[in-house]
Amino acid sequence: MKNKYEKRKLFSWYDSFIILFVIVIVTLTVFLVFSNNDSDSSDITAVVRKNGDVVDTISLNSIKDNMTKVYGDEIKLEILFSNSSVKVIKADCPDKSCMHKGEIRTAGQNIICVPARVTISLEGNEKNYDSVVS
Amino acid sequence: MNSTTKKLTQVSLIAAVALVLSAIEMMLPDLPFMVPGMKLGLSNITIMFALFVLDLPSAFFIVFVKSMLALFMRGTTSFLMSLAGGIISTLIMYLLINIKKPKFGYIGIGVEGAFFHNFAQLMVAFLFTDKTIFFYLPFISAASLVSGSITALVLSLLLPPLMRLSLFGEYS
Repeated sequence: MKNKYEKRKLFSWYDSFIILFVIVIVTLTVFLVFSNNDSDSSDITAVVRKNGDVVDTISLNSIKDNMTKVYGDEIKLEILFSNSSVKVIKADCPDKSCMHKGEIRTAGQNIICVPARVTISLEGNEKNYDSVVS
Repeated sequence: MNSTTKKLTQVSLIAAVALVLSAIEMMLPDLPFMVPGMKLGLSNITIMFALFVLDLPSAFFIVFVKSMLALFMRGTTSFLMSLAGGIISTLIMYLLINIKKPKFGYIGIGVEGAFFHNFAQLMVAFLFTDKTIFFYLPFISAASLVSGSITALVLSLLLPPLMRLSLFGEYS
């Protein structure tokens, strides 16, 4: 059996290309993800998607009393919407990562539960260009 | 020793280590500044080890065993994400290890493997949900720099003494 580990360095000069590649991806995606968050934070809409389709849009400002809603089929998510924040209070999924995320309250933040196929993202009010495009 | 028996033992041993590492990772709490549900990827060390001392099918077998653990412990979604991430990163690392001309170091192989592992998982998650998931792309990409380097460092320290054990390799 041949050992392929011999004569290999921990860091080769060629590795910098790989590291550069990853750094470029990071910078590009940071730019893409955080560039469209310049909407005003006074009027926030919580958009709930299931399997990629929008199933609910809730304007947080219009909420007077806290309300809970349940989304999902086999795996259920119980989500608490309040005037200023959104959080998952109950999740059937095994790892509960969406609950650990805690509260979200500003535009651009989101909660994702992949097992339940549900995402909740907070969007600011200046998303009008979306409707212009589509 | 019969070579088939020997190989079976080697693969089983590495697979067992992979399962232990995965189990330890599941017990660790989510770090607050990281993506919820994101793990360190310690068991990637075993995949890379299998690629170095055994072969591609053995590495795929370990990926499959690891995914089965995810299936039993965390459900179908985790299984598919684990399998996709494992297969893609194993293929990428296999290519980088076997390229002769630009000879990559452990860090290059580890980082690229970690990056494509995370990227493939994100793509599976995207298929299940929507574009919101890409919010995590910069975080998981940056994290692969760290976790890939840790994998590389551990492996570069582990390989020489383990090869001297003559359990793996040509000395037996």
